[in-house]
Amino acid sequence: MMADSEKAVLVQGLTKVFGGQEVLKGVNLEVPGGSVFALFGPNGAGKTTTLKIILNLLQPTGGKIEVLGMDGVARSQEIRSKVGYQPETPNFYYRARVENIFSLCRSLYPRWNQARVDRYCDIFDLPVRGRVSDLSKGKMTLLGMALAVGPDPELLLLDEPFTGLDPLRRRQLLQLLVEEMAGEGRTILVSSHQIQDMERIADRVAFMVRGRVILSRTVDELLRDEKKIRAAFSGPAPEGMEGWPGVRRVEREGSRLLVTVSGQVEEVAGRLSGYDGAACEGIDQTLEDIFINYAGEGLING
Amino acid sequence: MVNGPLMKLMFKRFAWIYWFILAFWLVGWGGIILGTTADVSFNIEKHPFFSIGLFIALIWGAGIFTREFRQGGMMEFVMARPVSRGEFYNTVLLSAAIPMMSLMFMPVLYTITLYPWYHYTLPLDRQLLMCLAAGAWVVVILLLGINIGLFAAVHSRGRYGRAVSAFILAVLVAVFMNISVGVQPVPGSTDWMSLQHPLPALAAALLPAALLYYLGRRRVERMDI
Repeated sequence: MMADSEKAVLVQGLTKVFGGQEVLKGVNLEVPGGSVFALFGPNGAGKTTTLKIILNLLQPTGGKIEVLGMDGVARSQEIRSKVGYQPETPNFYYRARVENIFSLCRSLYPRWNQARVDRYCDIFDLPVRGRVSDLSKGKMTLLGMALAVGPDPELLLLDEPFTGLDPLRRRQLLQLLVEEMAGEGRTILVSSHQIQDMERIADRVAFMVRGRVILSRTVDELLRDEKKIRAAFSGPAPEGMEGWPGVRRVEREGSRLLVTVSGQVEEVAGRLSGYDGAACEGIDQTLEDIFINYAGEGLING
Repeated sequence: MVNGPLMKLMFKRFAWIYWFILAFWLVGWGGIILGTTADVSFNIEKHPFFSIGLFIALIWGAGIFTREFRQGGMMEFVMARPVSRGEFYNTVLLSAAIPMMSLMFMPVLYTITLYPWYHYTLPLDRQLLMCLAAGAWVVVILLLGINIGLFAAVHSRGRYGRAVSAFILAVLVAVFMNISVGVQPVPGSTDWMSLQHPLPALAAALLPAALLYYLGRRRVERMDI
């Protein structure tokens, strides 16, 4: 496994053009070794494209990619022997039996942990002798997960790993990811819309909007620095607050103000308290709130 | 290089073609035995395997990668594993070329198995060489079909790519149909060349085969999956 200080994935200035349309516009991403890294973004932000380029399924138009310390394009085959990948839409030979798919993958990888795969099959109730075409959407997702963890990967790339899963299975999967994969020091890079679920397990997050990474930080830092302050005033409310350092947005709630603050929470709260008859209350934000703030601004500002 | 496990899977997927060839041979063999009682000479030139092979190779070749790439999404599944694009290309190509070659060698199979009842008009070594030459040209057409299919699959303007590919396919099919209308091969055609001058026909197939192989492989190595 990689040391925490090493970068499992390093993406610099990544661009991708599809049919004249620039889908990735200089993506920069650093995923530390051994971390659980969540990539959030609205539909069409470029998350799947980024993951596919990391795996060299898509060819980059420009920029630099290093995966597990290796050049992402020149040594892609070697990289793929150490990476487990679950695609957004799992594709298999539909007429094949599940056990045949396992058998094929076992023979393709230099290492294959069949004991782990068997255990996942038991936990997920996967019909090993059944045909792939008979599986439900959720079971397909779980089969994709069992295949992704089979090669004992150093890096796990998961693209919407909770698609079609009920809350029970989702919880099971999260527990397995945390206890087993992250517990063994493997790096996990997840693209997901299930922000609440990911908040429980992610160490770091990045927000992608319209082909750019607009923010990349640890979850703890983000939850500490991104707050809202609800302020009521007996006298007139301060003007031009949008220009204050650290203030991202000011919304009116009747006579009160709801101020979204980034980083300088203490300073803004102190400044507000200085106004005549001001009463301030700090409100914690969830990762989903923070994402919506940033992604919403990113979409509006382009 | 060919990927062994993938090749095994491709053989399983294409098992129906081998069953088809076996059934084709058995039905043809039984029909010939039951249909005639007189001592008849067996003329390899009257069996249009070459024309049939060209049709199948062109249509199958055009679809083989497109199906993996677009419909099944299997290309993504395989390429997410430690398999190089070159290996993938070679494996799929070989798994398609082997049944095509098998089909081309059917006349030899007929002449050998019908020997007690029929006389063949050409010596067996000449027949083998002819079948080899015909097989080489069928592989050329398979590669041409693959290149057409890949062009349609990865062209940035999908409709344009598909329209151009469909047009080329239609023209080629029309040409093959025209050639194969007569039972006897048209002088100067690859069919005729394979029959009359098998060794030069075999040698002449190598250059287009190499060129089309290179173009197809380059396309697969650079394409987005």
